[in-house]
Amino acid sequence: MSNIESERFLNHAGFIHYSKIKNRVNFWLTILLLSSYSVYVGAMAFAPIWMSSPLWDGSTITTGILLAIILLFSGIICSGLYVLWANRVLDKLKQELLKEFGHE
Amino acid sequence: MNKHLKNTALTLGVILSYFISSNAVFAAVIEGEVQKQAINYTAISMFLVFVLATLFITYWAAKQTKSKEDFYIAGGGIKPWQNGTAIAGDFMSAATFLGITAAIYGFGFDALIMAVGMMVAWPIILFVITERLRNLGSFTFIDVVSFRLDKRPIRILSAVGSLSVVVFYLIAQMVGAGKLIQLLFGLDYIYAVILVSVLMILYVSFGGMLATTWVQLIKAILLLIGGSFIAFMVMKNFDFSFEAILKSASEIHPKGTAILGPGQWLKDPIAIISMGLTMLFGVMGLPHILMRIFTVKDAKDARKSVFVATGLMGYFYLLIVIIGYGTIPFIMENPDYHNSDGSIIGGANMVVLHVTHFMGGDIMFGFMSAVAFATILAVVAGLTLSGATTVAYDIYAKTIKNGNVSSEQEMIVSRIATFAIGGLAVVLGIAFEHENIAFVASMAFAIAASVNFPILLLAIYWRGLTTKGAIYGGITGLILSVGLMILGPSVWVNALGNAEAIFPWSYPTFFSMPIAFFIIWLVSKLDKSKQAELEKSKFDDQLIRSELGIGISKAADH
Repeated sequence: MSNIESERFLNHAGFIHYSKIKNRVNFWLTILLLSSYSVYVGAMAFAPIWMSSPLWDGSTITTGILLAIILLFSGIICSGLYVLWANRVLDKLKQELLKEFGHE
Repeated sequence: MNKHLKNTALTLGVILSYFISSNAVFAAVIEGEVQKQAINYTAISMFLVFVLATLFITYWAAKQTKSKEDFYIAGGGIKPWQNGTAIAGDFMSAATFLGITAAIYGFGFDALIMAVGMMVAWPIILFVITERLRNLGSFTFIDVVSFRLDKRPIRILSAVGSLSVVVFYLIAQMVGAGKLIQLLFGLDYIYAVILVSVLMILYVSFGGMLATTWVQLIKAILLLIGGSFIAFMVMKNFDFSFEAILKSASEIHPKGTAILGPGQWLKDPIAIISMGLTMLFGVMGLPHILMRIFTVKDAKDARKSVFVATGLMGYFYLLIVIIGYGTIPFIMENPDYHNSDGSIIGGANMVVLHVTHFMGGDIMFGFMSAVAFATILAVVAGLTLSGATTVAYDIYAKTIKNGNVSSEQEMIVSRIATFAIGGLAVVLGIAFEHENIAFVASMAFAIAASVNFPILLLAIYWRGLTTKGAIYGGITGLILSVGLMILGPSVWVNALGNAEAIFPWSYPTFFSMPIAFFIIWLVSKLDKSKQAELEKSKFDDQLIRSELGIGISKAADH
C-alpha cells in the first residue's frame, strides 16, 4: 500500500468512524471483564468473609461460588455479543469501506 | 484429622507447590511419588483405538500437506468450529481435568480461580489480539512483531522467547505424560516418554497442522463427552441440585463449610493476586496458541473460532466445578479408592478418574484414562509444530536465508526440526524425571508473559514502539523472569539447597512483566534515531491493515 493511499484512509470519515467504534467497543468490553475479574480476585484477597457468606440462610451456595459462576457465564456472553455485533455491524461497515477504496 | 486424610493432604501439598508457583493448569502435572499400577487392558485397548484413528487421520492429512502453508497452518483452510474446538482442546488439558478437580477436592473454592482466570483471558484475547493478529501475520506471532521493526534482531529475540516457552512447556508435559502413563497403563516411565515422542513426531512431521488440529479436535470432543457423562451422573445422584452436592461435600470434607469460600489454599493477598495475574497474562503469550489464529482464512473466521473456543471452555469449566465438588461425597470416605495406608490410589490427581470408575465402571474408567493420555499427546503435538515453525520459518527462512528459500527446502528444515524437538523432548523428559516440573512450567509462563506478550501488545497498539525499545525490554523481561525464578524459593532453596531465597516470591511475572513494559517504553521514548522515525512512520500502514485486513496473507502466496 502506498503512502498516498494510507493518507486517504486515515483522513476518510468512514475509516475514522469504523476504527473508533471498533476500538471503543473492544476497550469497554475489556474494561468490563477486567474490572469484574478484579472484584472477584480482590474480594478473595481482602473480603474473604463476604465471599464465604451464604446467599440466603441455610444455603450452601456462597457469594464467591455465585460470582465464579457468573464470571464463567459472562465470558461466554461477552464474546458472544461481540461476535454477533461484529458480524452484523462491523463487517458491513468494513465491506463498504473496502468497496469504496476498490479493494473488493 | 484421621490418617488417610493426612496422607491426602501430604500428596496435595506436593501438587500445591506446583499450582502456587506456576500457571499449573496448562501443564500436565502429576507430581510426587507415583507407583506403577497393574496393567490396565481396557484403557490400553481404548487408547490403541485412539492411536489407530489418529494415525489414519495423519495419513489422510499427509496427502493434503504439500506446501509450507499446508504444513504450518493447514493452508489457512481450517473451519472456525474446528479451530475453536482445537483451541478449547489446548486448554482442556490433563492438568485442567485432573489437576483442578484434585485441587477442588483438597481445598474447595480457591481452586476455582484457575478456571475463572482462563475464562476471563479468552474474551480479552478476542477483543484485543485475535483479529489484528490475523490481519497482520502469516504463520507466527513473530510476523506481527516484526511487521514494521528491524526484522533480524526482532525475529531472533522473539524466536528465543518463543522456543524457550515451547521447550519448558514441552518438558513439563513430557514428565507429566510419563507419570500419568505409569499410573494409568502400568508402562515404564522411559517407554512412556519415548512412545509420546514417537507418536507426536509422526503426527507433526507427516500431517502438519491439519493432523495436529484434528487430533486436538477429536480429543476435545471425547473429553467433553466423558466430562458431561460424569457431571450428569453426579448431578443425578443429587436430584440435579447443585446445592445438595455442596451440602454433602461440606459435610464430608474435614474442612467443612470452609471449602465453600476462599482461604484454604492461597493464604495471603499477594499469593491470590499473583495467581490471578498469571492466569490472565500467561495465556496471551503462548506461541502455539497464537499460531492457531492463522489456521483460518480471515479475521472474521478467527473471531468465530475464538467464540467457539470460549463457549466450549466455559461449558467444560462448569462441568469441572460440578465434578470437582462432586468427587468429595463419593471418594473421600470410600475405602475402594484408598490404599491400606489411607492415601488415594495413584495419588490425589486421580480423584476424577476414581469418580469416573464409581459412576461408569471399568469401561468408562478405561475410556477416560485413554482420553487423559490422548490429551497430552495432542498438546505436545501442537507445541512441537509451533517450535518447528519458528525454527524453519522465523529462523531459517526469514533470518538466515533472508527469505530466499524454496517451499521444499523450508519443509525439509521444518521436518528436521520436528525430529530434533521430538528427540530433545525424550532426552529432557528423562533428565527432568525427578525435577520439580512446577518450576519448569512456571518458567514457560513467566517468559511468555514477560517477553512475548509485552512486545506483541505494544507492536500492535503503540505507534512509538521502536526496535531498540523492543529488544532492550524483551531482554530485560527474559533475564528478569529467568533470573528471579532462579533466585526464588523454587530453585534457590528447593533445587540448590540454600537456606533462604534471595527473591522471596515464587512468581517473577508480577515484577518482570511490568518492568519489561516500562523498559520498552523508556528506551523507545529515548530512541531518536532515523530508524526509529522510519518505524513510527510505518505505523499508519500497519494500523490500516490491522483494522481492515488489506493485504492479509492468503494461503496461496508469499
